This record gives sequence, structure tokens and C-alpha cells, in this order.
Amino acid sequence: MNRTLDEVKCDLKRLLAENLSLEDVKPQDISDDMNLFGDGGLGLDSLDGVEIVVLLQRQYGLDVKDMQKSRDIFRCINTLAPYLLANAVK
Amino acid sequence: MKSCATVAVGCNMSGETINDAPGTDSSVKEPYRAADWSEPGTGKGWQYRFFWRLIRTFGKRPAYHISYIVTFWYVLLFPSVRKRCRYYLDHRFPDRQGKARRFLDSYHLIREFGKTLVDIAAFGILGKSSMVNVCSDVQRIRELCGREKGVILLNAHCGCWQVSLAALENLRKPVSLLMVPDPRSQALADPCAAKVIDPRTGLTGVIAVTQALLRGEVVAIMGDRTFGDVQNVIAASFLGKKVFLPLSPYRLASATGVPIVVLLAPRTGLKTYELRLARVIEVPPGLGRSDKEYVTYAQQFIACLEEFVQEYAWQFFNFYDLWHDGASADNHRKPDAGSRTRSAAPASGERRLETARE
Repeated sequence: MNRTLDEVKCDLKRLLAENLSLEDVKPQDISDDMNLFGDGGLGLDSLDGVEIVVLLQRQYGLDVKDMQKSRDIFRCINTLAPYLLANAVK
Repeated sequence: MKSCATVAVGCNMSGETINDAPGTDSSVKEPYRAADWSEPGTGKGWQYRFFWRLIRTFGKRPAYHISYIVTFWYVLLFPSVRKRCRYYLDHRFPDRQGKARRFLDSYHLIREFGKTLVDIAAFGILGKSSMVNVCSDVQRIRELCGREKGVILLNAHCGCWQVSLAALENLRKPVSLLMVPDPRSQALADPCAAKVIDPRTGLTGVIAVTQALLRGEVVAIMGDRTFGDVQNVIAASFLGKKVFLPLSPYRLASATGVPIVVLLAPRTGLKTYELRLARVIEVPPGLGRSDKEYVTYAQQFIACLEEFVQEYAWQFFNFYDLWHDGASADNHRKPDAGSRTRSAAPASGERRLETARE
């Protein structure tokens, strides 16, 4: 993947804002350390993870192999972007 | 138990369980106690060991006879067991009011449940020869599961899906079961050694299931229990009243583009189960996050259950108040229900189904 970490973060924010039907949420409203799931932050629930996993798989070919760490990986943009940068195949 | 592996569905069965401590994920809501939706698990460890030895030594038939006595004992002495039966029976047989009739109905239901537990145990202990699977739809099921993309097998707690799924052991695809691990069936002999993903693990389980489907694997989901989740549920009308079902099968199908194959497994004889392809539900892709979009498809699943309980009234094994859970879920759900666009599940407007009669 020939992108910088900052570019990946921007891509992720755009993907989430555009594809998860988050009304009134623009990419710039999502901060790097904002919790994606649970109360507060972006407020996604666990089932929203379905769309995110499908998006990341189709866009980047990402396959999360370590299930025990998945909760930490998907915690916020700051945790997801480095993992994506390291593991994306597209 | 070695025999468990031999009846595993598909291949690559590791028996692995994804089972983090429930409740550590903030997105998992569990307002009900687990016992609220569990089976009437009054059995003790030594009783399971007794039945295990009985089946191992003498086979199934004596175990059935002992189970008739044991279940009668429980129904007679434990009002809580009778109460758990009434949730379903009062909706299935609303006109039966006499005390004796209601007692016998409860006994009938628990006795059938006991027979199913014996069958599960015998299948794990004695192997495939203890039961015969009749599956007229097996070629169609294998064809659906053999495609490149994944498949969601949607089951319910009726009949004995554990035993009947073994009819699909030649799928040559990994199979994951999204279900709460049952220590009781493990204490006997669980015939399904597929990878178990605990739905209470929230995001971890969701990611595991989604990736499995994207890899073209088979995921079996119990479509009739919400496991205490009040956020990701969907309303449907079952036996004339509203219940809430898990939303996950339908959202998974839409997001990943896989079909939902409804499989039900009635017990049809002393040694026979039938694996029945009740329906293939095709959920259009890209329906998004609003649960309203999925009501039609949940109702299709419920239609399968209603047909099942019409034909096999004593093989529906949900011993908790599905209908009360519906009302309770309404009370617990926030207006935005964890989503900024998600609307509350419709309180009415679903296809009204005629109340079932015997």
C-alpha cells in the first residue's frame, strides 16, 4: 500500500461517513482518537462492524486474523489506520 | 469425545470457541439474566453423567424411559418448569385452560425436549448409527453451500438441528456456529464440533462472522433468540403477537451478499430426523442500518417457524417469554437505538398472522 498513515486516516473517515449513513457527520467531524463503537464517540454498535469489515475487505482486501485483538484494532481511527497500513493487500 | 469430530459439519472443525468474557464490550447490552432465555436447565452434573453412562452402556431406549420419569418428576414438582412451558404453549394452544390439560401439555413438551437431549447425547456417544437423517433437500442445500460465496444457515430451537446438521458433513467448507456455548450439551456429548462464536462477544464475534462469510464459508445462526440484546433486534409477528428476533442474520446477508437458508430439523420417528430446507431468503444488498428495511425478511423466517409449529407443535424448545421480550425490548430501546439514523422497530403493521390452532 503506497499511502501514508495520514492518507489512510483520511480515507477511513471518508469511508465511514459516506457508507454508514451517519447523518450530519462529515469526515472532519471524526477525530483520530474518537471511539468508533459504544456510547459516546461515533456511537456505532457492534453490528455496524459488519459494514465496516465488508468495506475494508472490499476496499483494501483487509482480513483481520487476530480475533482476540479485533476490539482494540477497531477502537478508533488511531488504532485502525496503522493496522490497515500494515495489512492491506490492495 | 472422538465421536463428536466424526459428525462435525463440514471440514476444518477445530471446535474452537470465540468466547471473550461477556459484558466487557460496551456495545453488548444484556438487560435480561441469561436464565431468562435459557432452557429449563434443572439437571445436575451427576444426572448428566448418569445419562451418559446409561446411553453408553444400554443405548437410547432405556434412556428415553428414564427420561420420561425424570421429566414427569420435574414438571410435577417444579412450578418454574411448568411456567417456562406456558410461554409458548399459551400462544400455541390459547384455548386450553383446564389445569389437568395444561399440566399434561407441559409434560408433553418437556418430555419431547428430554428425548431430544437423549438423541443429541446418543449421537455424540454412539455415533451416526444412533440416528438417521432424512434430507430430501440435501442436494439443494449442498448446491447452495457449495457456491463460491458464503451462506447463512438460519436455524431455530426446534426439533434437533444439532443432529440434523450432520447430514451436511460433506460440504467441504468450514462452518461456524453463532451460538451461546452450552455447557450442558458439552457435558453430554455435543455432536456439533464446529467452531463456536459466542454472540455475546459483540464486535469480536461480528468481525469473525463477517470475515467467515466473505471468505465463502458457512455460518449457522440461531434466528429465534436475541440473547438479551435489545439494540440489534427486529420486530416480527409470531403466533399473532409481536416478538423480537436478532437483526444480525439479515444485516449480514445484505452487507455480504450471501443468501439465508432456513433449515429446520423435526424429529420424525424413533431414529429419524428430517433436515428440511424451509426457505431461501434473499436479502437485497446494501439495505444499510435501518431495521425497517429487514422486517419483510424476518417475517419470512417467522413464517417458516409457524409452519413448523403447526406440524410439530411439541418440538418448539424456547422456554422463555419471547413475547414479553418483545415488549421489554421496546422499553429498553433508545429512540436512536445506537444509530443516528436507525428508527425504532415498527410496533405494528407487520403482516398479521392468524393465531395458530392445534
